[in-house]
Amino acid sequence: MPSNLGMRPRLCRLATLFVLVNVFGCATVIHNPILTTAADVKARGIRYYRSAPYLLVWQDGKGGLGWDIQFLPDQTQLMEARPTQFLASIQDGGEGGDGLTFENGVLINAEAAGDATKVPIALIKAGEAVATKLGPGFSAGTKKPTNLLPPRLYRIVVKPTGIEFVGGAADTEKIFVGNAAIHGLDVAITATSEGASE
Amino acid sequence: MKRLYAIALLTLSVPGCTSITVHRIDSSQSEELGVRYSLPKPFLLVTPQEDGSVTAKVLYLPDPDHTYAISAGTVAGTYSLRTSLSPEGFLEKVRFSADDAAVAAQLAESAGNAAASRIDQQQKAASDAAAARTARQKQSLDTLVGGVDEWRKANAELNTANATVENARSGVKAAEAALATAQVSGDVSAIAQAQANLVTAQNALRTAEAGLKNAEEAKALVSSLLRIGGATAGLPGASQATATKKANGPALFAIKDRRVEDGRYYPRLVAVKYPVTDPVTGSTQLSFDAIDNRPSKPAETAEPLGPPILRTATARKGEEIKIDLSKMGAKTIVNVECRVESTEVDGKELKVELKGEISTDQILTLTLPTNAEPGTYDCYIDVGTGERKTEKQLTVKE
Repeated sequence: MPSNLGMRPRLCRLATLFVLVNVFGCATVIHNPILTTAADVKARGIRYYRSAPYLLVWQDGKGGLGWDIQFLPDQTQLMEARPTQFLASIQDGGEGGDGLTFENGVLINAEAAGDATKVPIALIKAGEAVATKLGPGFSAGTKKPTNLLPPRLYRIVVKPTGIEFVGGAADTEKIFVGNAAIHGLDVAITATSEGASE
Repeated sequence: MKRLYAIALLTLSVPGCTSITVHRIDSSQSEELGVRYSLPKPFLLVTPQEDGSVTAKVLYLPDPDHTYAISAGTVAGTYSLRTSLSPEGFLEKVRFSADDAAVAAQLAESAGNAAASRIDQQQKAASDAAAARTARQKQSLDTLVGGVDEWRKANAELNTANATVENARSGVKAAEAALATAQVSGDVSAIAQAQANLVTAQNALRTAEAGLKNAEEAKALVSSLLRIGGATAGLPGASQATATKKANGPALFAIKDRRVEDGRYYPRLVAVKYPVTDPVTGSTQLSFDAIDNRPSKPAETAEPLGPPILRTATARKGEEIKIDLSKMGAKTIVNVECRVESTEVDGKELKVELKGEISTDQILTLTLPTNAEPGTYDCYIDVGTGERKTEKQLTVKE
């Protein structure tokens, strides 16, 4: 049946759908990765970082080692969150109604907050293995050193077969701790390394 | 009819465009509207303690390369954008409410609200910038980075305020003298002019005195923060007693991630170098090639330690070792602590406990117990200053 608006029926339906979509329900937050500086200049969303676990090892100045697992903003993963809405009433930013909450640049609505008390035991065991491996070369033994080496920072990469620690002294060091060692299947926790490990 | 339908479509579609916009700020002089926030840049602060131990702490500072202006806008509608910033200028919370349900009815009002919101945002941006500046100062003071510079700045402002007050006082005196001269002459217009000048000079003096009070309070605040931070030793005029307590400076490392050939990101600690010179000793900051863990320099009032009188000592079980402490340069021996590290021979841990006594002529007598295990031990002797320890090797024979 010809339209009494003088428009073709398919075009009319499309236009009506467009209006309905705009009027009802288009309230969302879009998250996009920002990979380059140029993209950062063009982007219009709220910038934030994702978080990532790191292992920090340092000489304690008394012949031993101190180590800690830290969740830091991952500076390689800049993101944008872009709340959009069209004629819908967005309350408090959209997702869940709580607004967007950040901690040290990390969006914690969407990310697991860096909480040292919730670090998986596997990570702790693997961190112990790395500290043990570094011990003889990195620590100064029983003598109190007069000059301390700079601390070392490893990014923790969880793989299906174990946990890899990358970074360290020469920036390209890799230390791998396998699942067998982490879960106690080996008698002693072992770590294998490549690169510039001591 | 077709035109009416198109207008209806346009009317319903366009007013709904209410959104948050974030622009990257490349320069502090940018005129971009909106609340400024920065992404944090993580640093590692490694601080040697007086006892030789080291603490490592992750510290976040605003990243000037990732600073943004956040604002909201609407074609027609009302909205409220509430941003919470930390004292460091980091974004903590964004709450955005938009209401376009009564677009047509509130079209005119919305424009006013948007303008008012922009003004609010500008005012909040100024307020946030002031808060961030205060936080930066406190943070720099807390971390002792630039603390002395802040103190110098406050001191210079106080000196300037003092000079301004002195000038204002001179102005008041000159105005009073001019008024007296005019009164002697009896010229009514000259007297009136002189009285007006005196009032102006007195107002200037009041303003200058208020500025002086502010500058004094600012300097007192910076000084107190420095004392909390333990950097008083670096200030000109600091007492010698305080200066002897200073520890080695902290080392600051920037945490950076970089991509290497295999496509992975590797973290890297990059030592931050900044030219800081101690105004008292003239020494410069650490080079950061390594963290200096040497004991603090001896107090200038203390006697310099002489050469070690005994680098190695060998004794049999039950024998005595005598050490002349007076040759170690300390005039007054407060106490002596002798610590012997355990050692390991053929996988067996050996321990020895020394008992020491000091005679009136400052001879330290150490007695090796008869059950001491033979071996070579590291031995540390602290002559009581708490800052210098003499390291020796002690060999116990059968």
